[in-house]
Amino acid sequence: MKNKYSLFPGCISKNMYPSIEKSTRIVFDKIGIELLDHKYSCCPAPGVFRGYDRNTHMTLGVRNIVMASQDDVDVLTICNGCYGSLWEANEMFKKSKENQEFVNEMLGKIGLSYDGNTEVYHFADILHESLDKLKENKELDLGLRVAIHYGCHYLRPSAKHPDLNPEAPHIVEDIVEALGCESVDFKNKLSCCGAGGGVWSGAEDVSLKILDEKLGNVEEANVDCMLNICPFCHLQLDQGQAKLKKYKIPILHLSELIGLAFGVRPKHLAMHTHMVSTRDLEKKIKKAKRSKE
Amino acid sequence: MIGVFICFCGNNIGGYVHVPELTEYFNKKEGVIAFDTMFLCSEIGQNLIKEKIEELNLDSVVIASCSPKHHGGIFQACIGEKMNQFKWEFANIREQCAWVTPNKEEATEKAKAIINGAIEKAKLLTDIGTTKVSVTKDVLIIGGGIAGMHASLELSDKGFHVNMVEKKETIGGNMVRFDRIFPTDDCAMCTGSPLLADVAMNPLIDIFSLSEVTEVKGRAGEYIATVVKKPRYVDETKCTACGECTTHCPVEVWSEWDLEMGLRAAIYKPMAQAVPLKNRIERDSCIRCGTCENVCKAGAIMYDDEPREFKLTVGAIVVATGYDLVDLSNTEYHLEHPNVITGLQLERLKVPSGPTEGEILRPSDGKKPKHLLFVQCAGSRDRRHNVYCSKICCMYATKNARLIKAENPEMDITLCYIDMRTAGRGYEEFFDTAREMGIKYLRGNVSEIVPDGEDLIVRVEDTFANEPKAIKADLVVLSTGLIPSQGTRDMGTIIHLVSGADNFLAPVHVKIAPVDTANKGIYIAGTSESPKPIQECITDAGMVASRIATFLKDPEIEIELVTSKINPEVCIKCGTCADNCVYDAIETTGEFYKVLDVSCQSCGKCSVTCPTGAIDLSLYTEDQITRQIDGILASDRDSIIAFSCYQCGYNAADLAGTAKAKISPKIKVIRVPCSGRVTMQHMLYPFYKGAKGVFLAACLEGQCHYIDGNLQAKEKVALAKKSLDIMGVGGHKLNLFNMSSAEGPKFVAAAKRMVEICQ
Amino acid sequence: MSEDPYEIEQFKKILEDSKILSCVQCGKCTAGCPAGRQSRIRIRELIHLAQDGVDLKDDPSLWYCTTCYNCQERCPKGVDTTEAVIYLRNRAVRKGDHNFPPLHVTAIKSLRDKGDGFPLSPEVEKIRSIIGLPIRPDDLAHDEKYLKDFTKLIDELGILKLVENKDGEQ
Repeated sequence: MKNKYSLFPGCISKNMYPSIEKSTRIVFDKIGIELLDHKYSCCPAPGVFRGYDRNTHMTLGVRNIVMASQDDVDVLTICNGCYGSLWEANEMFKKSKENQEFVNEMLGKIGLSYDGNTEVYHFADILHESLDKLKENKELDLGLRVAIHYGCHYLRPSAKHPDLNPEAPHIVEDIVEALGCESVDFKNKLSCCGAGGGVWSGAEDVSLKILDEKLGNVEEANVDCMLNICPFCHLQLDQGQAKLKKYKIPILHLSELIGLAFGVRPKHLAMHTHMVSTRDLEKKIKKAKRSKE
Repeated sequence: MIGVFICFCGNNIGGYVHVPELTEYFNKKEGVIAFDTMFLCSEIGQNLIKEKIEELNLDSVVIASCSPKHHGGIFQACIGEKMNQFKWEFANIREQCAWVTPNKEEATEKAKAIINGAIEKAKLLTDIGTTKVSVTKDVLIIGGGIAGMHASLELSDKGFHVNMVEKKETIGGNMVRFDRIFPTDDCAMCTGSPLLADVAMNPLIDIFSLSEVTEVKGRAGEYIATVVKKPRYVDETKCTACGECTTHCPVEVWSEWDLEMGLRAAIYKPMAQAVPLKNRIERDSCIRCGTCENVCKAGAIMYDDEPREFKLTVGAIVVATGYDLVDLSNTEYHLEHPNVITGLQLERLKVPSGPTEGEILRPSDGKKPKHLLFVQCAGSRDRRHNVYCSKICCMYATKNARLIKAENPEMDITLCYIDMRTAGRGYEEFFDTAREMGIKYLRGNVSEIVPDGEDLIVRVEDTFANEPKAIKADLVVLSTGLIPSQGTRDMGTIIHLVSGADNFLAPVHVKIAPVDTANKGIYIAGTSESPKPIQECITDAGMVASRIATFLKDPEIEIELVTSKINPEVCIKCGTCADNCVYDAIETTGEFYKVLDVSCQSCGKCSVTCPTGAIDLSLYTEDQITRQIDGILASDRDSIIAFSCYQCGYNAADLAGTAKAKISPKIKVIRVPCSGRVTMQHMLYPFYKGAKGVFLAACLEGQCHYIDGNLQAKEKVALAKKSLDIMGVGGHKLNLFNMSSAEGPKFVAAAKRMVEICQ
Repeated sequence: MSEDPYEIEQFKKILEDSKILSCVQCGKCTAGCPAGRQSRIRIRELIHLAQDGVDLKDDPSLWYCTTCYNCQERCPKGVDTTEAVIYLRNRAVRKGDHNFPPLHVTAIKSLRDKGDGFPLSPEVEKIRSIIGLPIRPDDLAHDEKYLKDFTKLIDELGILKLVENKDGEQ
C-alpha cells in the first residue's frame, strides 16, 4: 500500500456535501496517508456525459488522471461515480491503441499527454487494507445498527475488483464491524439507489420510485443509519427522503462514520448540513463507550 | 514414384478448392503421379488407391482429404493391404484448408502447399513394423455409479474379471439417491437396488469402496494402477450392519449422503441397500466416546484402522467418475438460504426412505410449501459458470414438478426456463402432460432470488408479456448445472486423459469414437464425459464393455512400432534420453542404450533432448519434419508454420474447420505427436527458408498427454526466441499457445494473433 | 456525414463490441432491472430491437437506465447490456433524439463553463469555511488557466453541438 495519493473529491463532496470531503481528509490524515490536491474537473459524471458521447467522457476522464500522473501519484476517489468514470476511462485508454491515439491527439491540443501508467483507486479498498490502522485510531465503539449501501459503480462491472464477489461483497461490512457497529442485512441490499445513469436529473419520478423501494426495504430492517461509499448515492438517499416525505433514515458516508468513530465531533464534520437530521444518531454516539482510555 | 490421391469429398473439398487444378499441378511434378476422385474413403476410392499402388509400384502414397482423425484408420488399413501400412502421409485439405478459407483461389494455393509438404515427407518414409504383446484380461472400473455398475455387469457376463474402485462408502453413485427417474417415473431404487445386489454378489466383480486410484502406469493391455483404500474403522469382514452402533452413537451431524437435508451419526451406513453393506466411522465427526465399540457384538470396530495401498494389474480401464453440481452459494441464486435447494437435495426430500420420508418440507421450518418454484439453467448456459447446457435439467425438474403436483394438487408450482429442451423418446409427451396438470411454465431466466425472511422473492421476466415479475415462493429449487466431479477432474493428472474446456473428459472423437480416449485401452463412460441422462450412461456402459471385449479378445495385441530408435554409431551413451523418458522406455544394457518398443509411447521428447541426434522417432523423424517444412515453404514462402500436437492443437485446428471459422491461408499446420517433439532446429529452420512466423499449438499446462511435453516445448521456445532476437529476425515471431483439444476458437485466435504479429 | 462513426456500418461494429449478437433473449436483464420495476424500460426488448437495427431514437425509456450494471454483470451470454444502452443513447442523440432531458443540457453547459457538473454555490462556500476547508477548492474550476484549456478541450470534442441540435441553436 502507498502512503500518498491524489484525492479526487468529486463535485458533490466538494460543492454540496463538504462534510464528506472534510471527514475524508481527517480520516486519511489520522491513518497516515497523505492526500494531494490537483486541478480536477468533474470526473465527468458517467450517467450524463457518457450517455451523450463516450469519447468525450473518456477524454475528460483521462485529462483528470493526467493531473495526478504528472506528479507520479495514483488517484484516490471517494465516490463511486468518479471511480467508475475514471476507472472506465483508464481501462478504455489502456486497452485500445485507437483510443490512445484519439485521447492523446485531443489532449495534445491543450499541451497534455498520457502514458497509461496511473491507477485509480476507491477509498473503501484502501481503508479495507488499513483495517488495523482504523482500529488503532478508533476512539469510540459506536455500536450502531448500520444498513450498508454499496452503490452500483463500486461493485459493477466486477472487472474493477477481480477478487470481489459482486453478489456477496464484505469490504464495507469488515470496516463497519471493525468500528464496533453491526452491519444489518436487508432485502435487495445490493440494488441501485436510483440516481445513476442521468436518471436523477433526467427522470426524477423514476429515480424516486427506485429510491422509495430501496428505502422501504431499509426501513423494515430497523437501523440507526444507512451508510454509503458514494456522495452521489448519499445525495440521492439524503435529499430524496425530503422529496419522498416518508422516511427519516439518517444517511452517512463511510468517511463520516469513521470520523465519528475517531472521536471527531459531529459539528466539526458539518453533519447538520444533511437533509435528514442526524441528531438522534449523535445522541446515541454520545453514549457510546470509549474504546480506549 | 509417389502417388497423390486427392478427394473432392463431394462439395466439402470440391466446393472450396479447385481439385482438378491440384491434380494437374502435381502431375507435372517429377516423381509424382496424382489422381482425384469424388469420395476417396468409398470402396471406389479405396480400390483406386490399391490398384495404383500395385500397377505403378508406388514407393509411398499421399492422401489429400479430410483430417486423419476422421478416416486415418480406413486409409491405413487400405494401404496396408498392398504395402507397409505406414508408407503414406496425409494432407488435411478439408478441416484445415477448404473449411477455413472462403476464397477458392487462396484455398487452392494453400492445398498445394499442404500437399507439397506431405509429398516431401513421404519421400523419406520407411517401413515400420508391428509386434505383439501379452494382455491382462482384468479390467479396472473407476467409479461405481450407474455407468460403472452396468459396465461391470456387462463385462463380467463376457467373462472378464472386474475391479471396481469407488471413492464413497457405497457404490451406486448419484442415481440411487434419486426418488424417481424420467421419463417412466420408475422408482430409482427399484431399478438401482437389483443392480447393486447383482454387482455385490457377482463373483467376477471385486469392489473396493472408500478407495481411490492415485497412479496409473504401464501400457495398454497391462496397466498398473495404485489404489489407496481409506480406513473404514470398521472391520468389513466382521460387521453385520445390524445398526446397533448407529442407534447408540451420540453424534448428530449433517448427512453428506442426504446433501444436508438430514442428519447422520458418526458411525453409519448411507442407505439400507449400501454395497458393501457395512457401517463406517467418519472420523472428523467421531468424538471417540467408545460407545459403538461397547455395543458392537461382532467386535467390528477398529479405531486404529489405517489406509492401505495396493496395486492392480489390468488390461483396460473404464473411467466412470461422474459429476457434481456447480456451487451457487453467494451468487444471485443465494443457495446459502435454507429454503433455496438444489434439484438433488429435492430428490432426498422426495425419497420415501429419506430424511423427511418423502414429504416435501422446507428446511427452515419443516412446513409444507404453498408456492414452489423451479429455476432452470441455474449455472448452465451461462458464461459465468458453465457455458454448456446440462441436458438433463428440463426433464428432471419437470419430473419432480409432476410428481409433487400429483400428490399436492393445491400446491402452486412454477417453472422458470429459457428454452424447454425435451428431446428424447417420450420426453415431449412427458412435458405436455406436465402443463396439462397445471404446472406453470414461465418463459424467463431468473435474475435473482431475494431472501425475504424465510420466504423468497424470485425476480423473473415473463418474456412473452414483456413484463418483469416478483414471484413470492416459500421453496425454490435450483436446477443446478452439472460439473465434472473432483474424481473426474483428477483423472486428467492421474491418467493423463485429455479434458475439454468444460473440464469433462474428452473422447478421442466426439462423434465417431465417443467412449474411446487417446490412451489405448482406457475408456470413458457416463457423466465423466458430459452431462447426460441415465439411459445414455447405460448406453455408454454397454459400448465400453463391447470396446473392451474387442480390445482384450486375444491373449496378445498388436502394437505399432512407431517408436524411437537409437543409432548406436552416434550415441555417446550420456543417458539423457533415459533420464528424461517418463515411461522408462529406454534401458541400458551395459554397452548401449536401447528403446523398449512396448513401453515407448511415441512422444518423441527424447529426440529433442539428445545432444547428438542419435535418437529419432519413426514417422516423425528430424529429417521428415524438415523436408515437410521445405515442401510447404517451396510452395508458399510466406507461410506461418503451426506445429500442432496431435492430442490437442491439431484437434483444435480441426474443430475450427468444423465450425467453418476463418483462418488465414498463411497458416500451415504440421502434425507432431507432442509439442515436446519440436526441436529448436524445427523452430528456427522455417525462418531460414523465409517463413513469416512459427507457432506451437500445445495442450494446456498440466494436461499434456505425455505429462510434460508442453513444458519442455515452452523452455525450447524461450531459448529459440532468444536466438531469433540475436539473429535479428525477432523472437516475437515464434510463440507457443496452449489449448485443449476442444478449443477450436483458441486455435483461431492463435492463428489470428500470429498473422498480426508477423505482418 | 459519411464519416459519422455512428452510421450503419460502424453501428454494426458497436453491436459487436457490446456483443449483443450473443443475446438469447432470456430476459435475465429485464428481470433484475431496478428501473424496469418502476418504469417502462425493458432491456431485453431494447437489445432485441437493436439487433434488428432499430435506432431507438425518440424512445424515452432509453433514458430510464440508471446504469447499475446488474443486467450486464449477470448476463449469461456475456452481452455488455449496459454498454449497449450507452451506445444506443449515443446513437439516438446523433440521430436527432428529442427525448433527452433538459437538465442534462444544463449539466453539460455547466461542465464546459465551470468545470463541474454541480458547481459550487455561495451557501456551500460558507459551510466549507466554517468547517475549516478552503472556501474554494484547489481545483480546475477555480484556476483560470486550467479552466480555459478545459473549455477549449470540450469544444474540440464537440459534445455541446450534439445537444444544441435539440434547441435548434445550430
